Amino acid sequence: MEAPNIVKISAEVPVEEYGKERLSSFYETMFKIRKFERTVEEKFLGGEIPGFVHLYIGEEAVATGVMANLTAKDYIESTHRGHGHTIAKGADLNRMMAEIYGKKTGYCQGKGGSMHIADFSVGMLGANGVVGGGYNLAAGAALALKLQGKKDISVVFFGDGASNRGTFHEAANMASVWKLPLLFVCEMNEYASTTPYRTATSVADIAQRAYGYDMPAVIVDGNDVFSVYEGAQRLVEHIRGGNGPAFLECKTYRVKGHFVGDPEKYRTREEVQKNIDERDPIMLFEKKTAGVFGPDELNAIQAKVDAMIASALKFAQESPEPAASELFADLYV
Amino acid sequence: MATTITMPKLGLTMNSGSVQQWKKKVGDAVKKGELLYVVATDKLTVDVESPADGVLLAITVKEGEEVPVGAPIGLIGAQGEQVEGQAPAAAPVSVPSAAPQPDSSPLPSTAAKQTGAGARSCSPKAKKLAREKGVDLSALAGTGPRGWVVARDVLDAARGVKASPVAAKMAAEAGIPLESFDADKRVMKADVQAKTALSGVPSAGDGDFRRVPATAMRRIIGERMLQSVTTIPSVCYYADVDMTALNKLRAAYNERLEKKNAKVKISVNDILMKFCAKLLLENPMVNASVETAEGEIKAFILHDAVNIGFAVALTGGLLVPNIKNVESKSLTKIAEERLELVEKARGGGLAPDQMTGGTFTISNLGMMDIGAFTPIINPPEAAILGVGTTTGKPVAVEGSVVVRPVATFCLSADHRLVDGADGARFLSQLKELVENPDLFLL
Amino acid sequence: MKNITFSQATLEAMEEEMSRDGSIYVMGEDIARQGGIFGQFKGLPDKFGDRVKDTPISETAIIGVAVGSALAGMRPVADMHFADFMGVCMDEIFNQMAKVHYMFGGQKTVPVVVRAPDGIINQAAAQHSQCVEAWFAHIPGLKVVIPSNPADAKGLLKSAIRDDNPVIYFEHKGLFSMKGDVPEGEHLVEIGKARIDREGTDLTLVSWSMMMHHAAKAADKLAAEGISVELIDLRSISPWDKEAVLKSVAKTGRLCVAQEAVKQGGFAGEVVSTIVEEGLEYLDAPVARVGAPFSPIPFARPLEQAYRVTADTIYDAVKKIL
Repeated sequence: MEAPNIVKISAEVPVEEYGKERLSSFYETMFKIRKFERTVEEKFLGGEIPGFVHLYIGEEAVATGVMANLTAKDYIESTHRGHGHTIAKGADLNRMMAEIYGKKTGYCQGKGGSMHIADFSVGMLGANGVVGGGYNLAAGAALALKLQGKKDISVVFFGDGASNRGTFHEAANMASVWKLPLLFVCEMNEYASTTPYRTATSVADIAQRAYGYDMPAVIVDGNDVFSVYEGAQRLVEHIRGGNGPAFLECKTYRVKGHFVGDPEKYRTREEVQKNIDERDPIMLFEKKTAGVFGPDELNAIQAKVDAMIASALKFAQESPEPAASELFADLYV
Repeated sequence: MATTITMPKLGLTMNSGSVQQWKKKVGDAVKKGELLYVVATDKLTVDVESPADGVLLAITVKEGEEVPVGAPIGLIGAQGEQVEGQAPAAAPVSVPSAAPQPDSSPLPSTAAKQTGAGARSCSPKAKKLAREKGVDLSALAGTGPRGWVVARDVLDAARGVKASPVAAKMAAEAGIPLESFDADKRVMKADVQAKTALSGVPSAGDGDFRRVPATAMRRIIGERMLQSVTTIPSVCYYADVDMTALNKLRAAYNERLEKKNAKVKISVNDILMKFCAKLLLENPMVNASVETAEGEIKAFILHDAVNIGFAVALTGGLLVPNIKNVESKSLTKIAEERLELVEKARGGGLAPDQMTGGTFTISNLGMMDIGAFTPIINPPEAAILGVGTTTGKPVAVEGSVVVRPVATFCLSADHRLVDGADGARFLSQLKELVENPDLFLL
Repeated sequence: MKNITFSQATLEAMEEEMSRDGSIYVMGEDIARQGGIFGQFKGLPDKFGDRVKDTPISETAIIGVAVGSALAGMRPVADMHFADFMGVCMDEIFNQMAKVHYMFGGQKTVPVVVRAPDGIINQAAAQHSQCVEAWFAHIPGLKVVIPSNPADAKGLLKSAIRDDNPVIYFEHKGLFSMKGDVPEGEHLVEIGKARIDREGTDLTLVSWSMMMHHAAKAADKLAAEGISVELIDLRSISPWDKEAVLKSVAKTGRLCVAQEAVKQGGFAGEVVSTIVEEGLEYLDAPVARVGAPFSPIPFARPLEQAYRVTADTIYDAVKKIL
């Protein structure tokens, strides 16, 4: 069923017109997320990182493309799979890694961990350990912006699994009724934890649900950073124009298991490999920009990112753990 | 061998009663002399002490259930003792109260816990005090809730005053310090009763007022007076009565008695009692009680005997003993009994049945120089006579004004039993009799 | 002093605070056009316009939006219509609102006030009558206040609005029309501070909200028998003033705690356990807990009456420990 509110778009602007600076920035952000997540995976498997972690590998283009339309004054609400959003929003890698390590120098002084990173200084209002926990908080931030007479917007990221939470429907309705400056960004990565998309969700495109709340929706290839960027750009403009909320569905694929250590009984190795081979967002970017960058230029960006991640890792490893006496710190103001 | 607890006879006129409250649960250890239950009769409530040492094995009447005097109400025996017709205490027989509550289920027997040396139910505060004051807890009887030894028990023990548990509890409730009793002998319930009757026991002065805890007597007076004015529709009838003839008669009697070296003197009240007894038998609805059930009037109890109460003022309160069968007693007998009852009331020695079973009351404030007052009916009686001071008043006698000794009588009567004309008739008959005592023999 | 209703007292608090601070706004179901189902918001939209918002029937969104807007600099007051509906938005309350400040290392405060009308009134039955304060006292990060009279209603609401922590403000439906003296001018009541309603020497009776009025009646009845009750209104149950209760029990040696909520798992249990833990040697008698039976609240009058905790229930419980 095609809903009349939905537009499916692919990137139309020629790659060259983005300019080298923006393209470098796309690449750096995506590579930074990839490298960060690979390091977290390695250190988790090595037993250095406690708790459990959810990786964003394969979905880097979504965070990168959306965030390129935002400023530090715009707000985002993230998910349990939130490292990518946080990095793309401009958070500090040292403090992120330190938090994942449970260190005193982390964003939350070791109180949060991987699933609870926030950096209010860049408008990142927090990852959320509850699937679907972010919609209403993002709607609240949007209401605040509206009441404060600001032109900034609020963005909530969520997966296909979270689209089945009642929270989505309450937030979507209220945002639409109150014309809140809120962008819903659905990362349709095919799996809700371990459950394949169509076994648990009623619609072919989650964007169909936006129709019920009188919201315009755009569907893009979430692995193509340019399509994500242009789709988000169109909706962000709509929202900044005071026209109420909008919905962006990014079709992507979760290359890694739900969490590090997931036995992945619900899919085949071949399916995963096919997506890596054919749809990896970094590979797609490199292909599209082959005429813009020489190989050395991208290598230089990679080297710069490698150094940043190495430094973040060292910072996290060497940072002190919080003292037991800090148990009650920040419980109450 | 188990001891059967039976409904006690708390006075001559008591035929039945109910346990208002059990102070122990089935399975609890009890000591002879320890407060075990509270009996309510139609007249009063009485704390009853345990008749034996042991464990309360069974309770066989529900709280509030009326049973005849002598009926078995419970059982005391040894822990685990098998009693015919009763399960052993390990599976205690307990009459369920109206609505079973999970938290009212019997606790494991405290007796079992008390087998250890000195182990018994004590409040934490009492334990701490006992340690501080070097008091041996195992020697104490508990006066607190659930029979706990509480702080006051330890403090009393530390002061060296020995009291029965019931006495200690009563004293605590009345606010009477135990050291005010004679330290040589064990303070018993009767000692406390005597003392509560005798004093209002003011507490220490504090600021602009003194707070005086209510004594048991004041509480009962309060309850009964409140019950009277809130449940009895009373009507008051007033009559000025010429006392000339009665005074003359009384003087003659007393002159005769004096000559015979009798120990007693006839009072105005004695004669009024005798007159009232005659009239009460002639007006049965004035010598009656209302029987109600759930507030609805069911019947009227017409008493064949006339038992007349009279108030004895005490410091901090009053008691109303009554003289039984006034109708069949001579004036001297009435006077003797009156003297005896007054003495007992003042000494705290009245038996419960001397304060219960009254059918009419005379309250005479003649000696207090009071004109007239409206007495409050003493339930479950139907009426009360108030007698004011006799003073010289102008009275018309055969067309001319003369000064005569006159007293104002007031009859308060329960309109449920005594209609206006009946009440008025009773009082006017009394007036007629007082003014013409020779009519008594008619 | 002025004599106004509990409802008027809360309205004054809202007006004064909203006039003082433009970042305060209030939202809920039926509050702007209707003035609140108990009239507790009457007239507010005339003064504050869009800062008084009618919401869809979306409790989850109400609390989530309140929290999100607080993160973006607002000071929201969210009305729950009936405390019973807090189950709908429990995740937003206990996983989001209560934890944001702690979980994110103190980066952002969450100055949200959740107003929750609770309690039994006129046979409102199982889903519109409950007292659920104990649930929230079990959640670190929240404050829970529960006034019993107009003066405290105003003072605590103002304090709750000014507090940078999330505060659940329980207001008993039966109290809204109750009148009482409220001080003129600025009136704040410190959160976490109990009020000694009357001093006494024989027993400490602790209560809060509507049950305070039943407790006072029980205390009157006991006073007539010469039993001197020290009556304490907790006013806040998280944090709660355990020092006040400990101090009182040290004096009286006896403790009874009375609540309208179901007894099992109720806040009275917390008070009692704390006193047993920290003040056992003060106790000269067993402690008493008074609460409703372990049952949903029934509809029919005799059933509801059998369910209710009254002054007599409290009186009977106290008598057992004297």
